[in-house]
Amino acid sequence: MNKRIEEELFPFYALDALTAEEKAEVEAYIAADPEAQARLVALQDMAAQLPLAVAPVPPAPSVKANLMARVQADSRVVQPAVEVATKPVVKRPSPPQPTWWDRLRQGVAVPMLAGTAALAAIVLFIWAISLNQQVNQLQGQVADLTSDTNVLVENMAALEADNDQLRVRNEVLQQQLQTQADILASYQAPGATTLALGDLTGENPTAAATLTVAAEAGVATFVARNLPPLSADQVYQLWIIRGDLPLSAGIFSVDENGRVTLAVDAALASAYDAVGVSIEPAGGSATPTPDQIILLGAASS
Amino acid sequence: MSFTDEQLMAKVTAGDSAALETLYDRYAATLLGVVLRVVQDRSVAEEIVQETFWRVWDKAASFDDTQGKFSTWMFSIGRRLAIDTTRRQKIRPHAARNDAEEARMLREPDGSSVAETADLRIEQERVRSVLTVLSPEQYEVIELAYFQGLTRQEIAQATDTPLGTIHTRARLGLQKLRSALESAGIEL
Repeated sequence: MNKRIEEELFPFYALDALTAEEKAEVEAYIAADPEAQARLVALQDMAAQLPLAVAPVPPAPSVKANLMARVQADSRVVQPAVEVATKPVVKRPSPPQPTWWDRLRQGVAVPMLAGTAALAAIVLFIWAISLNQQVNQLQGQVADLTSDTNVLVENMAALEADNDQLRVRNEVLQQQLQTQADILASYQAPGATTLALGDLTGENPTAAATLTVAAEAGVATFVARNLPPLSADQVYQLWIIRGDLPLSAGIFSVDENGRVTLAVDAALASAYDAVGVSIEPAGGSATPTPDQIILLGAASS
Repeated sequence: MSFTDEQLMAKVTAGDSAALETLYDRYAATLLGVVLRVVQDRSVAEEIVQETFWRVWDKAASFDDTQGKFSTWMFSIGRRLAIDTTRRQKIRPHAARNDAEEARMLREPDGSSVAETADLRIEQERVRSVLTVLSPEQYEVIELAYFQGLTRQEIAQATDTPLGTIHTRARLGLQKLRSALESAGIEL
Protein backbone atom coordinates (compact mmCIF):
# COMPACT_ATOMS: atom_id res chain seq x y z
CA MET A 1 0.00 0.00 0.00
CA ASN A 2 1.38 3.36 -1.06
CA LYS A 3 0.43 5.58 1.86
CA ARG A 4 1.31 8.82 0.10
CA ILE A 5 -0.91 8.10 -2.89
CA GLU A 6 -3.82 6.79 -0.87
CA GLU A 7 -3.81 9.43 1.85
CA GLU A 8 -2.84 12.46 -0.21
CA LEU A 9 -4.12 11.79 -3.70
CA PHE A 10 -7.08 9.42 -3.32
CA PRO A 11 -9.37 12.00 -1.64
CA PHE A 12 -8.71 14.54 -4.38
CA TYR A 13 -9.05 11.93 -7.11
CA ALA A 14 -12.50 11.14 -5.69
CA LEU A 15 -13.28 14.85 -5.66
CA ASP A 16 -12.00 15.11 -9.26
CA ALA A 17 -9.51 17.79 -8.26
CA LEU A 18 -6.12 16.39 -9.28
CA THR A 19 -3.83 17.64 -12.00
CA ALA A 20 -3.50 15.44 -15.08
CA GLU A 21 -0.12 14.14 -13.91
CA GLU A 22 -1.40 13.27 -10.44
CA LYS A 23 -4.43 11.58 -11.94
CA ALA A 24 -2.22 9.47 -14.17
CA GLU A 25 -0.11 8.49 -11.18
CA VAL A 26 -3.19 7.31 -9.28
CA GLU A 27 -4.54 5.36 -12.24
CA ALA A 28 -1.22 3.63 -12.75
CA TYR A 29 -1.19 2.70 -9.07
CA ILE A 30 -4.70 1.22 -8.95
CA ALA A 31 -4.19 -0.62 -12.20
CA ALA A 32 -1.71 -2.79 -10.37
CA ASP A 33 -3.65 -3.11 -7.12
CA PRO A 34 -7.34 -4.17 -7.27
CA GLU A 35 -7.77 -3.68 -3.52
CA ALA A 36 -6.56 -0.10 -3.79
CA GLN A 37 -8.93 0.38 -6.71
CA ALA A 38 -11.83 -0.80 -4.54
CA ARG A 39 -10.85 1.67 -1.83
CA LEU A 40 -10.78 4.47 -4.38
CA VAL A 41 -14.17 3.49 -5.82
CA ALA A 42 -15.64 3.65 -2.32
CA LEU A 43 -14.37 7.21 -1.97
CA GLN A 44 -15.77 8.10 -5.39
CA ASP A 45 -19.19 6.71 -4.49
CA MET A 46 -19.21 8.91 -1.46
CA ALA A 47 -18.17 12.03 -3.38
CA ALA A 48 -20.98 11.26 -5.82
CA GLN A 49 -23.44 12.19 -3.08
CA LEU A 50 -22.16 15.77 -2.88
CA PRO A 51 -24.34 17.17 -5.70
CA LEU A 52 -27.37 16.15 -3.69
CA ALA A 53 -26.29 18.54 -0.95
CA VAL A 54 -26.91 21.53 -3.19
CA ALA A 55 -30.33 23.15 -3.19
CA PRO A 56 -32.02 22.42 -6.53
CA VAL A 57 -32.73 25.35 -8.83
CA PRO A 58 -35.35 24.69 -11.53
CA PRO A 59 -34.07 25.82 -14.95
CA ALA A 60 -36.14 28.10 -17.15
CA PRO A 61 -38.59 26.16 -19.38
CA SER A 62 -36.68 27.34 -22.45
CA VAL A 63 -33.68 25.21 -21.43
CA LYS A 64 -35.68 22.02 -21.75
CA ALA A 65 -37.45 23.28 -24.87
CA ASN A 66 -34.14 24.04 -26.58
CA LEU A 67 -32.66 20.71 -25.53
CA MET A 68 -35.60 18.69 -26.79
CA ALA A 69 -35.72 20.67 -30.04
CA ARG A 70 -32.06 19.83 -30.55
CA VAL A 71 -32.71 16.18 -29.78
CA GLN A 72 -35.74 15.99 -32.06
CA ALA A 73 -33.63 17.40 -34.89
CA ASP A 74 -31.12 14.59 -34.38
CA SER A 75 -31.34 11.79 -36.90
CA ARG A 76 -30.94 9.16 -34.19
CA VAL A 77 -34.20 9.95 -32.45
CA VAL A 78 -36.76 7.15 -32.59
CA GLN A 79 -40.51 7.80 -32.53
CA PRO A 80 -42.10 7.08 -29.13
CA ALA A 81 -44.28 4.25 -30.46
CA VAL A 82 -41.25 2.05 -30.98
CA GLU A 83 -40.77 -0.37 -28.08
CA VAL A 84 -37.19 -0.53 -26.91
CA ALA A 85 -35.24 -2.81 -24.68
CA THR A 86 -34.49 -1.77 -21.10
CA LYS A 87 -30.84 -2.79 -21.32
CA PRO A 88 -28.35 -0.85 -23.39
CA VAL A 89 -28.60 -1.92 -26.98
CA VAL A 90 -26.48 0.02 -29.40
CA LYS A 91 -28.63 0.22 -32.52
CA ARG A 92 -27.18 3.21 -34.19
CA PRO A 93 -26.10 3.98 -36.74
CA SER A 94 -28.62 1.79 -38.52
CA PRO A 95 -27.81 0.63 -42.05
CA PRO A 96 -29.56 2.59 -44.82
CA GLN A 97 -32.90 1.05 -45.76
CA PRO A 98 -33.66 0.51 -49.47
CA THR A 99 -36.13 3.02 -50.84
CA TRP A 100 -39.27 2.05 -52.78
CA TRP A 101 -37.42 3.08 -55.92
CA ASP A 102 -34.61 0.68 -55.11
CA ARG A 103 -37.11 -2.13 -54.71
CA LEU A 104 -38.83 -1.13 -57.92
CA ARG A 105 -35.56 -1.21 -59.79
CA GLN A 106 -34.87 -4.64 -58.43
CA GLY A 107 -38.13 -5.82 -59.97
CA VAL A 108 -39.66 -6.82 -56.69
CA ALA A 109 -42.49 -4.32 -56.82
CA VAL A 110 -43.53 -4.70 -60.47
CA PRO A 111 -45.90 -7.69 -60.08
CA MET A 112 -47.49 -6.02 -57.09
CA LEU A 113 -48.04 -2.62 -58.70
CA ALA A 114 -51.77 -2.99 -59.47
CA GLY A 115 -52.51 -4.40 -56.03
CA THR A 116 -50.48 -1.67 -54.43
CA ALA A 117 -52.47 1.01 -56.26
CA ALA A 118 -55.77 -0.50 -55.10
CA LEU A 119 -54.45 -0.76 -51.56
CA ALA A 120 -53.30 2.85 -51.72
CA ALA A 121 -56.79 3.92 -52.81
CA ILE A 122 -58.35 2.09 -49.86
CA VAL A 123 -55.86 3.58 -47.46
CA LEU A 124 -56.55 7.05 -48.84
CA PHE A 125 -60.28 6.47 -48.54
CA ILE A 126 -59.96 5.40 -44.90
CA TRP A 127 -57.63 8.28 -44.24
CA ALA A 128 -60.16 10.71 -45.73
CA ILE A 129 -62.89 9.34 -43.45
CA SER A 130 -60.60 9.64 -40.49
CA LEU A 131 -59.76 13.23 -41.39
CA ASN A 132 -63.43 14.03 -41.78
CA GLN A 133 -64.11 12.64 -38.31
CA GLN A 134 -61.28 14.69 -36.87
CA VAL A 135 -62.65 17.83 -38.56
CA ASN A 136 -66.08 17.14 -37.07
CA GLN A 137 -64.57 16.64 -33.63
CA LEU A 138 -62.60 19.86 -33.91
CA GLN A 139 -65.69 21.76 -35.05
CA GLY A 140 -67.52 20.42 -32.01
CA GLN A 141 -64.71 21.53 -29.76
CA VAL A 142 -64.71 24.99 -31.36
CA ALA A 143 -68.48 25.25 -30.79
CA ASP A 144 -68.03 24.24 -27.14
CA LEU A 145 -65.25 26.76 -26.67
CA THR A 146 -67.35 29.49 -28.31
CA SER A 147 -70.20 28.70 -25.95
CA ASP A 148 -67.86 28.77 -22.97
CA THR A 149 -66.45 32.08 -24.16
CA ASN A 150 -69.94 33.59 -24.40
CA VAL A 151 -70.71 32.48 -20.85
CA LEU A 152 -67.47 33.99 -19.65
CA VAL A 153 -68.23 37.28 -21.43
CA GLU A 154 -71.66 37.37 -19.77
CA ASN A 155 -70.14 36.63 -16.39
CA MET A 156 -67.58 39.34 -16.91
CA ALA A 157 -70.30 41.88 -17.78
CA ALA A 158 -72.19 40.95 -14.60
CA LEU A 159 -69.00 41.27 -12.57
CA GLU A 160 -68.30 44.66 -14.08
CA ALA A 161 -71.82 45.80 -13.14
CA ASP A 162 -71.29 44.53 -9.60
CA ASN A 163 -67.97 46.31 -9.55
CA ASP A 164 -69.63 49.60 -10.53
CA GLN A 165 -72.18 49.20 -7.74
CA LEU A 166 -69.45 48.45 -5.26
CA ARG A 167 -67.49 51.46 -6.42
CA VAL A 168 -70.53 53.73 -5.85
CA ARG A 169 -71.17 52.12 -2.47
CA ASN A 170 -67.52 52.63 -1.60
CA GLU A 171 -67.75 56.33 -2.44
CA VAL A 172 -70.81 56.66 -0.21
CA LEU A 173 -69.04 54.88 2.61
CA GLN A 174 -65.98 57.06 2.13
CA GLN A 175 -68.17 60.14 2.45
CA GLN A 176 -69.79 58.73 5.58
CA LEU A 177 -66.40 57.91 6.96
CA GLN A 178 -65.24 61.46 6.30
CA THR A 179 -68.35 62.79 8.02
CA GLN A 180 -67.71 60.60 11.02
CA ALA A 181 -64.13 61.81 11.07
CA ASP A 182 -65.33 65.41 10.99
CA ILE A 183 -67.71 64.72 13.86
CA LEU A 184 -64.99 63.09 15.86
CA ALA A 185 -62.72 66.03 15.17
CA SER A 186 -65.39 68.44 16.34
CA TYR A 187 -65.87 66.49 19.55
CA GLN A 188 -62.15 66.56 20.19
CA ALA A 189 -61.61 70.21 19.25
CA PRO A 190 -60.56 72.55 22.10
CA GLY A 191 -63.52 74.41 23.56
CA ALA A 192 -66.11 72.22 21.86
CA THR A 193 -69.53 72.16 23.49
CA THR A 194 -72.31 69.63 23.14
CA LEU A 195 -75.98 70.24 23.81
CA ALA A 196 -78.31 67.30 24.29
CA LEU A 197 -81.86 67.48 22.93
CA GLY A 198 -84.64 65.28 24.35
CA ASP A 199 -88.19 64.29 23.56
CA LEU A 200 -90.56 67.17 24.26
CA THR A 201 -93.95 65.56 23.65
CA GLY A 202 -93.49 62.26 25.42
CA GLU A 203 -94.60 60.45 22.26
CA ASN A 204 -91.05 59.51 21.19
CA PRO A 205 -89.18 58.73 24.40
CA THR A 206 -86.22 57.13 22.65
CA ALA A 207 -85.71 60.03 20.26
CA ALA A 208 -82.64 62.10 21.08
CA ALA A 209 -80.09 64.38 19.46
CA THR A 210 -76.93 66.35 20.11
CA LEU A 211 -75.52 69.53 18.69
CA THR A 212 -71.77 69.80 18.99
CA VAL A 213 -70.14 73.12 18.24
CA ALA A 214 -66.41 73.68 17.92
CA ALA A 215 -66.37 77.38 17.34
CA GLU A 216 -62.59 77.74 16.99
CA ALA A 217 -62.50 74.96 14.42
CA GLY A 218 -65.55 76.36 12.67
CA VAL A 219 -67.37 73.04 12.86
CA ALA A 220 -70.88 72.28 14.13
CA THR A 221 -72.56 68.91 13.86
CA PHE A 222 -76.08 67.82 14.64
CA VAL A 223 -76.70 64.12 15.22
CA ALA A 224 -80.14 62.60 15.88
CA ARG A 225 -81.38 59.06 16.41
CA ASN A 226 -84.70 57.24 16.79
CA LEU A 227 -86.71 60.01 15.17
CA PRO A 228 -90.04 58.68 13.82
CA PRO A 229 -90.51 58.38 10.06
CA LEU A 230 -92.36 61.17 8.31
CA SER A 231 -94.80 61.25 5.42
CA ALA A 232 -93.54 62.34 2.01
CA ASP A 233 -94.90 65.88 2.46
CA GLN A 234 -93.10 66.46 5.75
CA VAL A 235 -89.53 67.31 6.81
CA TYR A 236 -87.69 67.86 10.05
CA GLN A 237 -86.34 71.34 10.69
CA LEU A 238 -83.57 72.31 13.10
CA TRP A 239 -83.88 75.58 14.98
CA ILE A 240 -81.30 77.72 16.77
CA ILE A 241 -83.27 79.74 19.28
CA ARG A 242 -81.83 82.99 20.61
CA GLY A 243 -84.16 84.55 23.18
CA ASP A 244 -87.54 84.39 21.48
CA LEU A 245 -86.07 84.36 18.00
CA PRO A 246 -85.95 80.96 16.24
CA LEU A 247 -83.42 80.77 13.38
CA SER A 248 -83.63 77.91 10.88
CA ALA A 249 -80.47 75.81 10.76
CA GLY A 250 -81.72 73.54 7.97
CA ILE A 251 -84.24 70.90 7.06
CA PHE A 252 -83.50 67.18 6.97
CA SER A 253 -84.93 63.70 6.73
CA VAL A 254 -83.83 60.56 8.55
CA ASP A 255 -82.87 57.07 7.43
CA GLU A 256 -84.82 53.90 8.13
CA ASN A 257 -83.38 53.82 11.65
CA GLY A 258 -84.40 57.36 12.41
CA ARG A 259 -80.81 58.59 12.22
CA VAL A 260 -79.31 61.70 10.67
CA THR A 261 -76.00 63.52 10.80
CA LEU A 262 -76.07 67.11 9.71
CA ALA A 263 -73.33 69.70 9.28
CA VAL A 264 -74.58 73.00 10.70
CA ASP A 265 -73.38 76.52 10.05
CA ALA A 266 -70.88 76.92 12.91
CA ALA A 267 -71.36 80.70 13.12
CA LEU A 268 -75.10 80.26 13.49
CA ALA A 269 -74.76 77.45 16.04
CA SER A 270 -72.11 79.17 18.12
CA ALA A 271 -74.64 81.16 20.17
CA TYR A 272 -78.06 79.92 21.31
CA ASP A 273 -80.40 79.79 24.27
CA ALA A 274 -82.12 76.65 23.07
CA VAL A 275 -82.08 74.27 20.10
CA GLY A 276 -85.17 72.50 18.80
CA VAL A 277 -86.38 70.18 16.08
CA SER A 278 -89.88 70.47 14.62
CA ILE A 279 -91.93 68.67 12.00
CA GLU A 280 -92.75 71.01 9.13
CA PRO A 281 -94.33 70.84 5.68
CA ALA A 282 -91.98 69.93 2.83
CA GLY A 283 -89.65 72.80 2.13
CA GLY A 284 -89.61 73.96 5.74
CA SER A 285 -91.16 76.93 7.52
CA ALA A 286 -90.09 80.44 8.45
CA THR A 287 -90.90 79.78 12.10
CA PRO A 288 -91.47 76.51 13.92
CA THR A 289 -95.05 75.23 14.07
CA PRO A 290 -95.75 75.47 17.84
CA ASP A 291 -97.31 72.09 18.49
CA GLN A 292 -94.91 70.29 16.18
CA ILE A 293 -91.68 70.74 18.17
CA ILE A 294 -90.61 67.20 19.16
CA LEU A 295 -87.03 67.68 20.43
CA LEU A 296 -85.71 70.49 22.54
CA GLY A 297 -82.56 71.31 24.47
CA ALA A 298 -81.81 74.47 26.43
CA ALA A 299 -78.39 75.94 27.13
CA SER A 300 -77.51 75.95 30.79
CA SER A 301 -77.37 79.44 32.22
CA MET B 1 -44.58 2.89 -14.37
CA SER B 2 -41.37 4.38 -13.00
CA PHE B 3 -38.05 3.43 -14.61
CA THR B 4 -34.68 3.52 -12.92
CA ASP B 5 -32.07 5.90 -14.24
CA GLU B 6 -30.19 3.04 -15.82
CA GLN B 7 -33.32 1.66 -17.54
CA LEU B 8 -34.01 5.11 -18.92
CA MET B 9 -30.44 5.34 -20.17
CA ALA B 10 -30.97 2.09 -22.06
CA LYS B 11 -33.93 3.71 -23.75
CA VAL B 12 -31.93 6.86 -24.48
CA THR B 13 -29.25 4.71 -26.06
CA ALA B 14 -31.92 3.30 -28.35
CA GLY B 15 -32.96 6.81 -29.39
CA ASP B 16 -35.94 7.35 -27.06
CA SER B 17 -36.15 11.11 -26.52
CA ALA B 18 -38.97 10.73 -23.98
CA ALA B 19 -36.59 8.79 -21.73
CA LEU B 20 -34.12 11.68 -21.93
CA GLU B 21 -36.92 14.07 -21.05
CA THR B 22 -37.71 12.00 -17.96
CA LEU B 23 -34.08 12.09 -16.85
CA TYR B 24 -34.03 15.83 -17.46
CA ASP B 25 -37.11 16.33 -15.31
CA ARG B 26 -35.55 14.17 -12.62
CA TYR B 27 -32.15 15.87 -12.40
CA ALA B 28 -32.07 19.24 -14.21
CA ALA B 29 -32.87 21.30 -11.11
CA THR B 30 -30.23 19.55 -9.02
CA LEU B 31 -27.68 19.88 -11.79
CA LEU B 32 -28.42 23.58 -12.21
CA GLY B 33 -27.88 24.00 -8.47
CA VAL B 34 -24.48 22.32 -8.74
CA VAL B 35 -23.43 24.24 -11.86
CA LEU B 36 -24.53 27.55 -10.36
CA ARG B 37 -22.20 26.93 -7.45
CA VAL B 38 -19.33 26.83 -9.91
CA VAL B 39 -20.12 29.47 -12.54
CA GLN B 40 -22.34 31.77 -10.44
CA ASP B 41 -24.10 33.05 -13.54
CA ARG B 42 -27.57 31.75 -14.22
CA SER B 43 -27.65 32.12 -18.00
CA VAL B 44 -24.27 30.44 -18.36
CA ALA B 45 -25.31 27.73 -15.92
CA GLU B 46 -28.50 27.00 -17.88
CA GLU B 47 -26.48 26.67 -21.08
CA ILE B 48 -24.25 24.17 -19.31
CA VAL B 49 -27.27 22.19 -18.11
CA GLN B 50 -28.58 22.03 -21.67
CA GLU B 51 -25.18 21.00 -23.00
CA THR B 52 -24.83 18.35 -20.28
CA PHE B 53 -28.10 16.66 -21.23
CA TRP B 54 -27.22 16.95 -24.90
CA ARG B 55 -24.04 15.03 -24.12
CA VAL B 56 -26.06 12.49 -22.17
CA TRP B 57 -28.07 11.99 -25.34
CA ASP B 58 -25.09 12.15 -27.68
CA LYS B 59 -22.78 9.94 -25.62
CA ALA B 60 -25.40 7.59 -24.19
CA ALA B 61 -23.73 4.57 -25.77
CA SER B 62 -20.58 5.26 -23.80
CA PHE B 63 -22.41 5.07 -20.47
CA ASP B 64 -21.77 1.78 -18.71
CA ASP B 65 -24.00 1.12 -15.71
CA THR B 66 -21.55 -1.49 -14.44
CA GLN B 67 -18.99 1.26 -13.90
CA GLY B 68 -21.20 3.54 -11.85
CA LYS B 69 -24.52 5.24 -11.44
CA PHE B 70 -26.06 7.45 -14.10
CA SER B 71 -26.32 10.39 -11.73
CA THR B 72 -22.60 10.22 -10.94
CA TRP B 73 -21.77 10.17 -14.65
CA MET B 74 -24.17 12.99 -15.50
CA PHE B 75 -23.11 15.25 -12.61
CA SER B 76 -19.49 14.65 -13.56
CA ILE B 77 -20.16 15.87 -17.10
CA GLY B 78 -21.99 18.98 -15.90
CA ARG B 79 -19.53 19.80 -13.18
CA ARG B 80 -16.55 19.43 -15.49
CA LEU B 81 -18.20 21.65 -18.12
CA ALA B 82 -18.84 24.27 -15.45
CA ILE B 83 -15.28 24.19 -14.14
CA ASP B 84 -13.84 24.35 -17.65
CA THR B 85 -16.08 27.29 -18.45
CA THR B 86 -14.96 29.12 -15.33
CA ARG B 87 -11.31 28.48 -16.10
CA ARG B 88 -11.74 29.64 -19.68
CA GLN B 89 -13.34 32.84 -18.46
CA LYS B 90 -10.47 33.15 -15.97
CA ILE B 91 -12.95 33.72 -13.16
CA ARG B 92 -11.34 32.59 -9.98
CA PRO B 93 -13.97 31.30 -7.60
CA HIS B 94 -14.24 32.74 -4.13
CA ALA B 95 -12.93 30.81 -1.18
CA ALA B 96 -15.92 29.58 0.77
CA ARG B 97 -14.44 30.34 4.17
CA ASN B 98 -14.57 34.04 3.37
CA ASP B 99 -18.21 33.95 2.51
CA ALA B 100 -20.69 32.60 5.02
CA GLU B 101 -23.44 32.92 2.42
CA GLU B 102 -21.60 30.46 0.22
CA ALA B 103 -21.54 27.89 2.97
CA ARG B 104 -25.23 28.28 3.66
CA MET B 105 -26.01 27.75 -0.05
CA LEU B 106 -24.51 24.31 0.19
CA ARG B 107 -25.57 23.29 3.64
CA GLU B 108 -29.10 24.59 3.78
CA PRO B 109 -31.98 23.64 1.53
CA ASP B 110 -33.63 26.38 -0.50
CA GLY B 111 -37.25 26.41 0.54
CA SER B 112 -38.38 27.79 -2.78
CA SER B 113 -36.92 24.93 -4.80
CA VAL B 114 -38.31 21.46 -5.26
CA ALA B 115 -36.74 18.31 -6.54
CA GLU B 116 -38.33 16.56 -9.45
CA THR B 117 -39.18 13.49 -7.49
CA ALA B 118 -40.06 12.90 -3.87
CA ASP B 119 -37.43 10.20 -3.48
CA LEU B 120 -34.69 12.46 -4.76
CA ARG B 121 -35.84 15.29 -2.54
CA ILE B 122 -35.80 13.07 0.53
CA GLU B 123 -32.31 11.87 -0.30
CA GLN B 124 -31.14 15.45 -0.81
CA GLU B 125 -32.41 16.43 2.61
CA ARG B 126 -30.61 13.50 4.18
CA VAL B 127 -27.32 14.33 2.45
CA ARG B 128 -27.56 17.97 3.51
CA SER B 129 -28.11 16.97 7.11
CA VAL B 130 -25.18 14.57 6.93
CA LEU B 131 -22.84 17.35 5.74
CA THR B 132 -23.24 19.08 9.06
CA VAL B 133 -20.95 16.48 10.63
CA LEU B 134 -17.99 18.10 8.88
CA SER B 135 -15.96 20.75 10.62
CA PRO B 136 -15.92 24.10 8.81
CA GLU B 137 -12.32 23.48 7.74
CA GLN B 138 -13.06 20.02 6.35
CA TYR B 139 -16.14 21.31 4.62
CA GLU B 140 -14.15 24.15 3.08
CA VAL B 141 -11.61 21.83 1.49
CA ILE B 142 -14.32 19.61 0.00
CA GLU B 143 -16.26 22.63 -1.22
CA LEU B 144 -13.25 24.18 -2.94
CA ALA B 145 -12.15 20.91 -4.51
CA TYR B 146 -15.47 19.52 -5.68
CA PHE B 147 -17.55 22.59 -6.41
CA GLN B 148 -14.87 25.08 -7.36
CA GLY B 149 -12.53 22.66 -9.10
CA LEU B 150 -9.40 23.79 -7.25
CA THR B 151 -6.46 21.46 -6.99
CA ARG B 152 -5.04 20.65 -3.57
CA GLN B 153 -2.16 23.07 -4.18
CA GLU B 154 -4.58 25.83 -5.16
CA ILE B 155 -6.66 25.16 -2.06
CA ALA B 156 -3.56 25.42 0.14
CA GLN B 157 -2.72 28.74 -1.49
CA ALA B 158 -6.28 30.08 -1.39
CA THR B 159 -6.72 29.24 2.28
CA ASP B 160 -3.14 30.03 3.29
CA THR B 161 -2.86 26.59 4.84
CA PRO B 162 -0.01 24.06 4.63
CA LEU B 163 -0.53 21.40 1.97
CA GLY B 164 -0.22 18.62 4.55
CA THR B 165 -3.09 20.12 6.54
CA ILE B 166 -5.20 20.22 3.39
CA HIS B 167 -4.50 16.51 2.84
CA THR B 168 -5.53 15.70 6.39
CA ARG B 169 -8.73 17.74 6.22
CA ALA B 170 -9.77 16.13 2.93
CA ARG B 171 -9.01 12.59 4.12
CA LEU B 172 -10.67 12.94 7.52
CA GLY B 173 -13.57 14.87 6.04
CA LEU B 174 -14.34 12.15 3.54
CA GLN B 175 -13.97 9.46 6.21
CA LYS B 176 -16.38 11.29 8.47
CA LEU B 177 -18.75 11.83 5.58
CA ARG B 178 -18.69 8.14 4.70
CA SER B 179 -19.47 7.12 8.23
CA ALA B 180 -22.32 9.63 8.48
CA LEU B 181 -23.81 8.64 5.13
CA GLU B 182 -23.78 4.99 6.09
CA SER B 183 -25.32 5.78 9.48
CA ALA B 184 -28.08 7.71 7.68
CA GLY B 185 -28.74 4.66 5.54
CA ILE B 186 -27.79 6.38 2.30
CA GLU B 187 -26.79 3.88 -0.33
CA LEU B 188 -23.30 4.46 -1.70
